[in-house]
Amino acid sequence: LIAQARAMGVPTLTADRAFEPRDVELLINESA
Amino acid sequence: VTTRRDFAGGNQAYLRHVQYADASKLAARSRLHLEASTAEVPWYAWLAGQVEWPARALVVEAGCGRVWFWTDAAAPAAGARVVLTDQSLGMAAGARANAGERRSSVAVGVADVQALPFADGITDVVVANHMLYHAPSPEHGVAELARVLRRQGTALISTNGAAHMRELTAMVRAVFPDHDDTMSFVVSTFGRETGEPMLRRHFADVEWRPYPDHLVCHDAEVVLGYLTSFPPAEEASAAELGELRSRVDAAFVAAGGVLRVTRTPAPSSPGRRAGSAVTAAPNCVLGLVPRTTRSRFVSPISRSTADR
Repeated sequence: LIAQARAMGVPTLTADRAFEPRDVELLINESA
Repeated sequence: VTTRRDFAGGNQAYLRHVQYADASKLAARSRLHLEASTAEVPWYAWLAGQVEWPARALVVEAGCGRVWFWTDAAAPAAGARVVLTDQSLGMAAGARANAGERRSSVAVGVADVQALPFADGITDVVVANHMLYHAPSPEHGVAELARVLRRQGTALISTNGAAHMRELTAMVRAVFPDHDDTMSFVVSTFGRETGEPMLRRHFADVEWRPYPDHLVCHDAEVVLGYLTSFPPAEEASAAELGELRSRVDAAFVAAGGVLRVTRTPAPSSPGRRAGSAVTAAPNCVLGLVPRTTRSRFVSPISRSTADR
């Protein structure tokens, strides 16, 4: 599922990450 | 056979790969509301209007579906940064496509509302629109939404009340007498009556706001599309479908061609985390904010880019 999601340009966000606001900015920039 | 329990949180594989593999079933339900609603203010615009939107807000939506909240409420941007999440890859991919040209302020990801990938207290607003009843544990979902919300932030959570769609539910119950009805499962899992205690355990202030609406249906096919978009009619045999169609047609005839359907109560619950300014307030502080000081809600996604 993770690979499939990546291929579709949609990251899989799991709870082992704890995004801070700066990480959200990076996530938005990466998806733009 | 898919059951109501699968729809209301019991079967995540069904939800991800069948019910929300794409937006078609959700769109069938949405179509009924779009065509038959009598509300003065459309649902998503009304929902957005319940929140004080801070400038440059960091917003997370759980169960974003096809991002209609953002495309239908208003148009674009005021610096909001939005992370749209959904458990279904199909829905998330569709959301990404709908984000279109506004993608510069929006990220989309697959995520579980019960295990959100955010640090504590980083979001200004969290949105969970008609989705917590799909979670295996709505209470865990509520706890996660509260955890990622900053103090004085707002959670905008909506669900249905027990009387929601009762006229249509009765038709399905008549054709499928051996099944419990889906709406009962929805409201017993996370509905108006069951959700409020959960919210009060995790938010300092909770306010239920009923959305004034009822449906006036003119098209039996649209009603059938709604009813067959979820269990058990989703998997109806030809005979069951024929019987359901007969009942819908008969209801239209009996009603003179215009079928009235209860939608209210369909409340939403904006909640605020504990904060010195609001913990003593008996009601959500949102109700105390003069309307003129409200930030205008502006969506970071333009309506024109969204499919439907």
